[in-house]
Amino acid sequence: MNAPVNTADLETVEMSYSEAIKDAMDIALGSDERVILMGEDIGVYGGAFQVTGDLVHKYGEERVMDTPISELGGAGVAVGAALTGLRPIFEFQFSDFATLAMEQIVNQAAKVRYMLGGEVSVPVVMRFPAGSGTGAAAQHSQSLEAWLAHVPGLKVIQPSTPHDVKGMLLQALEDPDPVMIFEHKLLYKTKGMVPQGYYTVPIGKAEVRREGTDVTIVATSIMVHKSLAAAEELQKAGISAEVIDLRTIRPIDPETVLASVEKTSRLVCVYEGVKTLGIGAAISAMVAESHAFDFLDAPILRLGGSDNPIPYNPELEKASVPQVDGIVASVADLVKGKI
Amino acid sequence: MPIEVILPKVDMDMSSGTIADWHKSEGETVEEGEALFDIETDKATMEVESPGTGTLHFVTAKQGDEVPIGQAVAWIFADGEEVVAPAGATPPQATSAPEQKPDEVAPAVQTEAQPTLTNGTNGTRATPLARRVAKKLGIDLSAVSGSGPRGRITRADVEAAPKQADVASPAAQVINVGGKTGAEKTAQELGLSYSTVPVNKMRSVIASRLTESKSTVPHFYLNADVELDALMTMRAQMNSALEGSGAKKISVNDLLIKACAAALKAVPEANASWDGDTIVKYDDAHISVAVSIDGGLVTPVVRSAQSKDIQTISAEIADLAERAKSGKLSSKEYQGGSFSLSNLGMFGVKSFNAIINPPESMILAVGQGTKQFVPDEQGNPKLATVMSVSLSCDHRVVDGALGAVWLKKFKELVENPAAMMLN
Amino acid sequence: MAKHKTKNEPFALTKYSPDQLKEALRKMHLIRKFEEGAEDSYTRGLIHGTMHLSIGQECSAVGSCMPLADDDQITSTHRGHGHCVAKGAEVARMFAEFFGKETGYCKGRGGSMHIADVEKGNLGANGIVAGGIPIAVGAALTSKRLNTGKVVLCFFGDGANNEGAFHESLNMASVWKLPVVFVCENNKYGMSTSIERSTAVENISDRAAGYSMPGVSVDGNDFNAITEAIDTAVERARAGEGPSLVESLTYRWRGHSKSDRNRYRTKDEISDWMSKDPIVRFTSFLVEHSVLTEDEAEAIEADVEAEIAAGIEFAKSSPDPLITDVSRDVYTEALS
Repeated sequence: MNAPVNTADLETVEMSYSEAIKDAMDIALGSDERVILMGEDIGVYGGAFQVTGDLVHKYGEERVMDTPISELGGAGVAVGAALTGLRPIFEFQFSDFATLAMEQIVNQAAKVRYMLGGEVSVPVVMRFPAGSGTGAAAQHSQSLEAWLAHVPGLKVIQPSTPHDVKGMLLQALEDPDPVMIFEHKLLYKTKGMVPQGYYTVPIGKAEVRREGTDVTIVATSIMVHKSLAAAEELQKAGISAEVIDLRTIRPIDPETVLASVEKTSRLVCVYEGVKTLGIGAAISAMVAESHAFDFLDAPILRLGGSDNPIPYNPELEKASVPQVDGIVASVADLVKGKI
Repeated sequence: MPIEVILPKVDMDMSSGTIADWHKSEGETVEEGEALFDIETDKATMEVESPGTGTLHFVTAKQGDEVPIGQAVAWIFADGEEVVAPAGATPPQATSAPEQKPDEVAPAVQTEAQPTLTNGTNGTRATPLARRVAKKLGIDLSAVSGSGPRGRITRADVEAAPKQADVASPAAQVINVGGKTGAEKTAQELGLSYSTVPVNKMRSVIASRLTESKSTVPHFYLNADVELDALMTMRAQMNSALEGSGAKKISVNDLLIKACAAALKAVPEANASWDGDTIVKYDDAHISVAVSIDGGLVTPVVRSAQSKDIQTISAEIADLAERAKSGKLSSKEYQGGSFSLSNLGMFGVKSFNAIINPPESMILAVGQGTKQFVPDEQGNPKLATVMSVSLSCDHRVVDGALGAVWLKKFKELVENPAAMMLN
Repeated sequence: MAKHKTKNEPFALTKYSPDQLKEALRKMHLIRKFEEGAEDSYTRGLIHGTMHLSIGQECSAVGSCMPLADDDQITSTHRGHGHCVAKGAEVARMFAEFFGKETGYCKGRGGSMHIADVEKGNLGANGIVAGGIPIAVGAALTSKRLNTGKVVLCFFGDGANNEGAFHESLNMASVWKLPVVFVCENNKYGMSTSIERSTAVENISDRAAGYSMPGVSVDGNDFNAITEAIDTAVERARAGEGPSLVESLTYRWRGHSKSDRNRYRTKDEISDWMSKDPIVRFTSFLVEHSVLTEDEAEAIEADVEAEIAAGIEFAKSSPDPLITDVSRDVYTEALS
């Protein structure tokens, strides 16, 4: 499963984001006996977001394991299994429940290799359905990827398209270190063209989704799509925005971002996680302390989640995270020199 | 260990100071707390006390030297201590006063919140890209006007700058006052007899601020004649009431300040400052009063003058003027004015047009009150004491009509002074 | 291996050869003297941080590891120096780790709480109470999934038995019938809080019933008792019948860590336990049953002393890690 594949040689088929994840897991389960899936209700129930679907019927309960409601213990079992030769993919039902497993993720998975002087690796993959917009309120709507991205020893990715989520999950299974995948719930039903069969998308590499000259928008996950929609609007007003899909937030890809900022001289970060102390702060600081600083012609702007738990009321819920209109207005103000 | 004597920071926005005078010299004994040397700042000369007792050695800065704050200028050795040059006992990188570049001068009189920056930006707001392009094109950023918020210069502004220079007068580019006019060179060439005086801090600050004011603020002037008789009568009554109390006499100038404050309260739109993308409207009338001092001019501020009674104003002015002359004003006392008053009447000046003190929007220039014949209500001549005033206005904030309304109010208050005493 | 046990014959004698038993004694001495050596170096300022000594618990550690095959695995705790030695660790490399040297088991990155020797089946000591329990279950899952036949011994203390991870792990191990043996070394105190004040059951082994697995409490300082209990559990696991909980009752002579002032227990209690030194007890047992002589016992002790001294010298003269290597080994392939 290791040889790199040129996706241009593969047939593509349209599928949804969640189907793409399932496809990746199907390929992995079918070709590597070390791969097992673990999570709550991923068996006959098919997974809370119907991602695993009917995989249990194909591979059996020993490969697609329903766990008790034990996030801490379950994540730890995944760590122990990865440490000793399996390739577990542990699904959290909601990213918010990562909090219950923080001990095993942060103190164990991220650190065992280092603490043991490099003698071992922990090739565990953990998947987190994340984000707001489903009316699930504060404890089921968070974007906590920045918490985990803060921890050395972990890799954290946020694929935004069906093509990328399949390829990056397959890449994660090749990675000897812990990979945390944050999947925005509202992306599960979005569709895209996906190559059939095995291929990988690199971890640690951002992608320019739309080229532009007046401003660089760096976005993650669902905000990539909102930023692209905003860029269309901005184009009508004569503003040419370049949109970068960061894809991986630990490690961030500096080259792609810096090259873009040098070209456009303006930077806006758009992300759903809370703006304060979030991923945008990290990107902004990275740019401000780099050679790209000399090319900035305007302050760096961050558009992120507001400083409140996600509310239940749908209008408040929308108002708590960046939306297309807000992105358009803020970027326009920035480019017109009003900020 | 010898005690280090440093050049202390004694003023806001101070990055260096000039040694005005040493009270003690190499080898002399000093006592802790004794006056050691004087520092010349923009507006005052400050005395620096000795930090310890002992003998003064390795005095590395001399009178007239400009020294960065925090740098050692001498050491004090205790009795019996071995007198060995400590590390750093080499003359500081002092630049002697005549070569002072005005853009290094602390803009102490400016009320705008632009601190002296020691980072090479010279207080100019420009984006990194603008700086880069300016450097590449050899454009002086201080000559570029910024279109961004708070006057920020962007790349577009720099790229447009050469075109700006074509339109504006060449003189507009020279806000940087360091420029030589060639006067000395010409005098030398022609063999004229002359002497030179180094431009000191205060002089250079006046030069740069007022050049900037004259060349960037769109001035216009409104003139009026005001009859002083009623005011002078009231003044005489006030001072007669104060007779024997030991209180200071009220002057005409004190009353004019009160009138200005009251007029600003009545016409608040004129009590404002231009600030790039906003206009700052002050809630109170802070009157800067021009005081002539040795070698220059200071404008201490009477804060919230509209709510102070005439005696308070009078005492404050006297105190501020005295301290201004002896160089003992703190920088807070000559910043933050919203209006200026300048009175040259005592010199026999009939009238004049004053230059606005930025960021204030108006300055009232007052001339001498002289006896003249004026028509009364019946058209018959009557003798009155008439004073000519000229109001300079910043057209960005104060339009002609607004200035006129203010001036009218001022004249009303002076000619009917009882109204000034009301709230 | 069929047990040919005559009535009243001690378990250990039926199960293990004299050489194996002498090796067990040697290991107990190794642990004791290692702990004492580490303690001495610490008081001389040679060791950074703190340490959690297991003096007094040597029999429990060695006895628990006796039934294990070489490729069986253990997870251990912050008080795990004894477990490491029992599972075959070299004291020289342990000392080097304590001294923070590049030659230590963790290249100086882990310190006393994280010693591991994965090749010898030691999956690592853990600084988080109950941190290693889910990991042990995960290792047992691997064993079952890949059919390796390995059994995992999961060491933890009485304090851990109140952590959520303990309960979640025992539950999952039981539900999935995994080959793991949970060994709780109950030394009566989680840091300073006694078992009586913290735990809702009288015997920790009582909790086994809540997870549908066998639970037994034994005297951990009695070599026969501990080896027999563990052996039963290991065989059960190896036969695919699932997990067990063994409570090994023992006692630590020293405080929780180097900062412990022992305010929560009496001097009398400590000296009482010290008078029942498990190593002395085991030596007497072996001598009594003619497995070895007093002289041989002394010779083993002397031998161990020499090994400890050499280990300390090795550690002292080993190189420190390079500062420039501080971020090495965070990831398996260096991030570009």
